[in-house]
Amino acid sequence: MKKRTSFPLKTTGEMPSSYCTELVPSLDRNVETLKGILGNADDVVFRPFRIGMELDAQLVYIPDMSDRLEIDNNVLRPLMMLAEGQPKDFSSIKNLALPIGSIEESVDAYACAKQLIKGYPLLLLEDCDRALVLKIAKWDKRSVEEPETETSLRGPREGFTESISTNLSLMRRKIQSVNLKLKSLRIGRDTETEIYIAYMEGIAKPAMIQEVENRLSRIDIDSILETGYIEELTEDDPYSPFPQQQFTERVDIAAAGLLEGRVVILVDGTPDVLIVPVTLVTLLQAADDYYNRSLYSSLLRMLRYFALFISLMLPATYIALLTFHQEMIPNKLLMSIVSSREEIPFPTIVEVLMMQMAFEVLREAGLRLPRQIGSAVTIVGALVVGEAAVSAGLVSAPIVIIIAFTGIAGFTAPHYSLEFSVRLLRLLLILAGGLLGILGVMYGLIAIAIHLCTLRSFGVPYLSPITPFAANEMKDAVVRAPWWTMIMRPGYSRKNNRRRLAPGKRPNPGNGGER
Amino acid sequence: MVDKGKISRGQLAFMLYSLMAYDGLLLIPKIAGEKAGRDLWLSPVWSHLTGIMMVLAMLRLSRMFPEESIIVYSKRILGKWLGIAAGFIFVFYAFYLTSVILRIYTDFISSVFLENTPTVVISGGIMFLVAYTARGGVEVLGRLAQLFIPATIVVFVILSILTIPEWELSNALPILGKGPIPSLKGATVPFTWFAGYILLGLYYPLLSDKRKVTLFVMTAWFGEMITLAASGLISVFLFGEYTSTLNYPFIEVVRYIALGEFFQHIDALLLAVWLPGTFIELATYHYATVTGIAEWTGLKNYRALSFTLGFLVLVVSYWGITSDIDFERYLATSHIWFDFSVLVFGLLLFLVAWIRSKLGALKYN
Repeated sequence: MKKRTSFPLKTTGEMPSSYCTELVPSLDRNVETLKGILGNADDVVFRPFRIGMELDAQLVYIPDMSDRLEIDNNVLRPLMMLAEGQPKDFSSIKNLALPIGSIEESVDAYACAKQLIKGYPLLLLEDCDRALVLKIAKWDKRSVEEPETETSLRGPREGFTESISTNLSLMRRKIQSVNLKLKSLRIGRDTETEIYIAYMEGIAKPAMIQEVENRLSRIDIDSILETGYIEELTEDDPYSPFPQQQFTERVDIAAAGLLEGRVVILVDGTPDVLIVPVTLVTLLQAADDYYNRSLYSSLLRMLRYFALFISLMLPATYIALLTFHQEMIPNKLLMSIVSSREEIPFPTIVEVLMMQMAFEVLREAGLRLPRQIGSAVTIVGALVVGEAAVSAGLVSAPIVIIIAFTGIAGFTAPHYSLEFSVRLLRLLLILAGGLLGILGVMYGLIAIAIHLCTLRSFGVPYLSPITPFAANEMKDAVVRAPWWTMIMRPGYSRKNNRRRLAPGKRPNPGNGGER
Repeated sequence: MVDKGKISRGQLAFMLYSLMAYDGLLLIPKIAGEKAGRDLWLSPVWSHLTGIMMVLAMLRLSRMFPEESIIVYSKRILGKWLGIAAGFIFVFYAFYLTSVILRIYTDFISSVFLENTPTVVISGGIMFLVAYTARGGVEVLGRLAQLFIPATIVVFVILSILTIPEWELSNALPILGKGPIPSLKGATVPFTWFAGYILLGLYYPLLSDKRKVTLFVMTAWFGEMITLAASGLISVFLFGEYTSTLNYPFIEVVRYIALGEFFQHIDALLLAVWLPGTFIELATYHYATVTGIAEWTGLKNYRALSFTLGFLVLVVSYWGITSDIDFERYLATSHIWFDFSVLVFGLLLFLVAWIRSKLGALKYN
């Protein structure tokens, strides 16, 4: 294939040459230039006024993106009220007259226009070739709420919002350490989306951070509207059914990821943040696991592994047993299954595929419809598909139980991206089991295992710590060992700073000096 | 080495364990039983006690050239032309053994589980997976071994425990009733299987940590011995001296398992032990073939060979011998000589290297 040479629009935000206009010492000319750049932008307000009855000035802003109250009180009022004798040159206005926290200078009309678009008002002065950018943007944003898709019984309820500044402050509040580093960059030629790479210095591997930066810097796209764009553009294996990056709306999960030496990518405009690297084990860890007591959460976690396995295998195994290995089913059970299947006109695999299809359709419909209708759809669907289909003799009752249980078992996955991959692979196994019986199911499982062993997420083997085996990390894999035993951080954190807590802190009344 | 990947010592041990354990589980009770009668469970013990010399010889040889594979160092030991011939012997052995094991696998599955399925679907399916694995490189192979083998060992132990109610201990008596000769005769076949340890020459340089390798390899060796002896012993406990009249004694053992009315006919569970184990065994041999040929011919990239050679293995596994009875007879007769000559070849290679180094004619690192 011919290698394409550099794409012409590679650098984001490069100004078209016709607009390459420096500001000049004339207010009218500058306003004209700005209007020329903005074109038909009728939402922009040009507000001419006079500073201290002497100096002409123009305030340019977009009303619903800037803080009007602050414009009135802290910009227009002090400038208009400026007494006659006071100096009115550029730097004294900037330094003495404007009580605003963040302020910048700009000498380029195009750069000014870009700041304006972000919601920052511009102040242009007569006979001055510079403009002031007043950083008092304000727009409506959602308040911090509990994320609806990731709920937990115990633990913090706050979730990220669409505003990246809110998200950054949430992170900072959670981890009050100077080692929490936030690197900013912009991706998207048109959207110029603000993106932050967050990591803990000294805990995350420098090579990992570098890798994340490299992959992000290779992205060349017009827009980033969601973290999903970034996820697909930086994956290790784009055609793998398994998620190679974790997304979450929960602040505590992102913070825990940072403290394990992982890297968090925040994107403006979406409450989902990305966490890399990811392993299969981390996708099965729920946030409550770490808040509930360890025995309880270990049990639940093992249950989750089991449920995932069931969700992957159950329909395929049922088909394989019923079509190829009837002798393995205990006699009484076989009798009741066969008697329920007597009237059924379809072979088992057709039955399973039909029911699976019906289940997926119901699920998708319930998701897309407004919430009030959604519940009606699920009830009607369950009645029609479950009750009516069985009593009409189209589908056998065991199939309904199996498909329903399979579907519900899949929902135990704490990160539903994993549930998607299980759904996909379930179909593959159903076909394999229908064709070759137990052997087919085994072939399918081996194929999945080979793929999992090949897969890496940002250089970390996907199945670690199970294989390659790391005894120390197994404490947080299938079980969740008590906190006082999890002394070390996971293997993908930086080598010389692995210790989380002091060893030998097993709680015990004797340790505290009690008797 | 053509592969830049590394494996851990534990992964190597699991791979070596797979080389004998799974085929042995099925075939040794029958093959050894024909000669040894009710002492058949002792045969693997004898064969392992003698076979240890091959293991130690290959380990010593590998330690002389820790960064080189057998393809490269045999040229240093035997000189250029003989060395190239030695490389060919190694590659041919690995290739041919893959096809033999594939044949054993296909015959077993089609005679026990899927009698009506065309055999090429069974063997083609597994060979596709094996070639896919070998293409992924040694790291993938090592990880798969680490994932599958422990699980199969656990299931094997559970299955063995479940047969306890059926045991008839007196079936094993008298031990050595006809002297040691019958069980020693039965040990010939498992002994020749030690030719498989020649693969150490290819896998040793891929180890990430080369300390205490002997310990890990010996653990694999010991595990094999226990597995084979235990499966033989359980077969004897159930079937006495009639063990060798059964086609696959251990699968009959598992068929005996019945816990109440609900938990019976679980022989398909043996498939869960046997299939992943044999898959690892096949992949271990096939990977050795693929990288061996790449190294022998001086190719930089071995990945392209994997599927091609896999197809060739599939063809060879059907070659010549058509019926599975003929194939079983071949395994118990001609194949012994093939394995035995490779075993001798490995020992000779070691002896030449050892003598030449003692004479100071061979420099090694």
